Amino acid sequence: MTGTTPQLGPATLAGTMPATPEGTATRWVLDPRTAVVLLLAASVTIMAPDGIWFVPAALVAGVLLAILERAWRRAIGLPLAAGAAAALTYLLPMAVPSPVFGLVGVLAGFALRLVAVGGIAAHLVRTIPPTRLIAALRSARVPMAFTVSGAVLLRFVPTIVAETRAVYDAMRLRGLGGWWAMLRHPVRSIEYFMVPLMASSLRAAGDLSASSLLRGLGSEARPTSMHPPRFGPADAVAAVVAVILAAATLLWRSGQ
Amino acid sequence: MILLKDIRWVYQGADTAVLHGLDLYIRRGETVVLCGPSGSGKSTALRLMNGLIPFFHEGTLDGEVRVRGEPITDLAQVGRVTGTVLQHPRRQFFTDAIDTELAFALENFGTPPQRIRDRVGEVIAELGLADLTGRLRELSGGQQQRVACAAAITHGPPLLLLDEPTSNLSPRGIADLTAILRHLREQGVTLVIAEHRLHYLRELADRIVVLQDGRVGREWTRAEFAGLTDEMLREEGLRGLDAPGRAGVAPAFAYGPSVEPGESRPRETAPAGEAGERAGVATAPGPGAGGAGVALRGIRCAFGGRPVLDIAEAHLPAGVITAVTGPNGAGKTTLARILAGLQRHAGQVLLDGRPLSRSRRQRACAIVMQDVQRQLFTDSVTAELRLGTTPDHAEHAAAVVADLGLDGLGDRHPLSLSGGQQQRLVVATARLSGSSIVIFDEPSSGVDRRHLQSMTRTMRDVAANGAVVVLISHDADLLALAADQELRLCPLR
Amino acid sequence: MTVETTEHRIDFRMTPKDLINIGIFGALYLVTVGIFNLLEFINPVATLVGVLVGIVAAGIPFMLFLTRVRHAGMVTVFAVIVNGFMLLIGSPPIGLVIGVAAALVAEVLLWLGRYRSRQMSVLAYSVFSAWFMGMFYPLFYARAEFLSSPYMKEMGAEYVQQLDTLLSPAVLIIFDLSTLVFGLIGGVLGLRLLDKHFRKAGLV
Repeated sequence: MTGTTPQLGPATLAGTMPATPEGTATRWVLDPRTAVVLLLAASVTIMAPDGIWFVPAALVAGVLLAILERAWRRAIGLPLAAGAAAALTYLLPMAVPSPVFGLVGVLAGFALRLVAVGGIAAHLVRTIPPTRLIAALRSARVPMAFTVSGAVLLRFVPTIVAETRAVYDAMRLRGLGGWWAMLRHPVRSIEYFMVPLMASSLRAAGDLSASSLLRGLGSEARPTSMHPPRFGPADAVAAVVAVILAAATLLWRSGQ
Repeated sequence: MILLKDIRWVYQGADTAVLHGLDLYIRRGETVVLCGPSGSGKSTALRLMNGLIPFFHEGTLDGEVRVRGEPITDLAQVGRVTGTVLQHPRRQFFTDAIDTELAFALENFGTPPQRIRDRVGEVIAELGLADLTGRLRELSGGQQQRVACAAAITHGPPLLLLDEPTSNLSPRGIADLTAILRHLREQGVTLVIAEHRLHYLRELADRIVVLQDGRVGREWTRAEFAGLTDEMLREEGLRGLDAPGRAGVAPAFAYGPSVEPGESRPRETAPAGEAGERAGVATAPGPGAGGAGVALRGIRCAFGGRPVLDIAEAHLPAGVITAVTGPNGAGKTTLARILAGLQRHAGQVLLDGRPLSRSRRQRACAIVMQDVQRQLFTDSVTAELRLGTTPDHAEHAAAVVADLGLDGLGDRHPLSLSGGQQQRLVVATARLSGSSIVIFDEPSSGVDRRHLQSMTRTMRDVAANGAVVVLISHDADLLALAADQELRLCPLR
Repeated sequence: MTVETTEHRIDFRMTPKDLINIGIFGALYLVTVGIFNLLEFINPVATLVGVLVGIVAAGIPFMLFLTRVRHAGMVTVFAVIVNGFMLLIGSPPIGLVIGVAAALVAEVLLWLGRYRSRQMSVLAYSVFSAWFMGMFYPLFYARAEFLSSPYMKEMGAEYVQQLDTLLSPAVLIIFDLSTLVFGLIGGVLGLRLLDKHFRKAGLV
């Protein structure tokens, strides 16, 4: 069954599908290694204690990346979502002095951090197709055990997302898909959903494994890439911007 | 090139040998077709040649296998000298673009980047893939299978193995694939093709090998093969030699931008889209629209603002098998989902003259999916038949089960049944739940002549019970056998 | 010449086929977890429910995975790619650390059962599920920061006290332990469905 793919989670699983077909033309895009390092830097600092200070810097980086990618909706949506989360974190507990809303405030503060990191993650997921990511990981000397299994994982996630849709369709046609039934018999509903999903996914997986084994996946310790990843001017600019943002954050913090 | 000597093979967990005393020698540059009824072992024989047996599928192997004079030691080693194309092109792709897919094997074998780029460019030019644009999954089945062939030979193997490569292709796609195979044959590539469909191989094959019960039953040269009659093929359980024609199939009553204009389409002059005319249609419906069956009115559907289906009016009568055909992207699957109430849309769907809401349609409709495993939920055939059926229908269970040849399977796990039995089990549940619309989505991929006929019988029975039967298929053999009328869709511009 | 391809011993070398299987089951595991986490769109409280139900459901692919590969290191590689994927879509990096540590413990448990013991495989899944703790770990610091923030000083000591109990480390620890308990449930459910379905269907 084809159609639109369901969106899963804030930074979506479905988003692993590349936004543009992979091709020879290199646009003004980051090298996957730069994007991953950028994401890790943002994620480590923001998720650390006191990391909330770095949220504005990460948001600026996220918006800049969205503009670079011409994802206008994200460029506008990101600050809006962050603003809403910040309002819930700081304004709501003041307005309604009840501990329950304080709890909401803490959760929203967590969400604010996720949004800030998510902006950068979304850029990575939307602009870097799995093949380029894997080629970059290979050239960064990540062991083959992880690049081979990781490549298969990225390849197979969209297939399973499509399978889940089909299985859910089949459940609805047999009258098994209602919310009421799921709440009344949760374990049975899990069974009805997972058994066909596993059976049909593993069937599809058989063909994929056979074809990739025959084409040598995992056979050589050092596979090559048709277009080996290369750093370009975009990466230099990204590094400079990241340093400026980090420095600005540190200055701002020491000023407070 | 390939030597199989006194082969015996038992899949793990099976009690009987699929191959038993198989001897086969294939010369360099030869084109050999392996055929035979389902279960005769033709795909299994192919798996011996590319090492999937015994290095991927588990079981017990006796006998000698040599490819280019050497025994097979591991999959990558045999992968360097063979290329393999499987049934489902989409499932075997590893990437989402043509160039990266072609480069895949070369990258894994550690070829230097410049050589990869040169070779990929060469193959794209040689096999005429330059005009294909966009992502792999948006290509038609035939185009995908061309890319799969190209990806299998980019690393330059002297031997190409194809496992039922046309089972999901339309006649047009088969023609595309044939051209590629002819080209490769002229280049001196040895081709081995396991196949049900034989008509396209008539001028291609040097030798046709019929497998029976796990060994070579019969062999024909190309000249002998050309002289065979349809009856002789039927005796061997094989599909016909002639590309089936569909001259006799009447077009369904339908019009709208998504409907391909036919020659004898009724009311072809009806101008769709004029408000006055549409009101007129509503009061004076098309032939039979007031009678039993499904009527579609002003059906429109779009994904993310892009329209995919637009049918002004159509009628699918009860008791009749309506084939829905057309190229990929014409909206066949979308139409099926709309009929089943699974897809939001504009317009009305009427059953027996009454409009039916989406949720009511979900209850009134059954789909026999291409991958039936997606719709088998329980741990025994009996439980599966009981699930989602009303008690008053349950008393017919025994009759339906006998009707569909599922006797004595009550305790079996549905997933352990053969593909054909699984399909019939789903049909049985549809009949027991009293579905008045039953949709068959590509039911015949990889099916031999006998199963094609039994599948047609099943559909006819469902129709004879008064259901609206919709058959989505590319398979010209099946359409020729089963379709009473045809609704041909075309992509929206 | 007879070739038996059925494997019976523990092997430390990972074949390409094993690596591909790890990727496939990693994808099945992730999508299962992701689908049940869709509940978070209903409301934030459902997030927790979704995570716990996801842990139970994802026990099914995990237990099938354990019957398919049986090589030392399999769970570790699995954990690295699953948590690496989570990292790339923006989860806290601590998840990767906790995930790999939990996987190593799970690996030891499996090894004690020679990669065959059913009880050990259930325990291993329960321990493996500990990576979910990493997803919520930053709540700990978020809480401390929040309570010590200038805004809270204005709210009065009693309010801060109440909030502190509502969101005490104890509550978070209970959540963490519940991931282990739901991991056990998921493991048992996975085993049950292996026997009820996948073994009969020839998928094991």
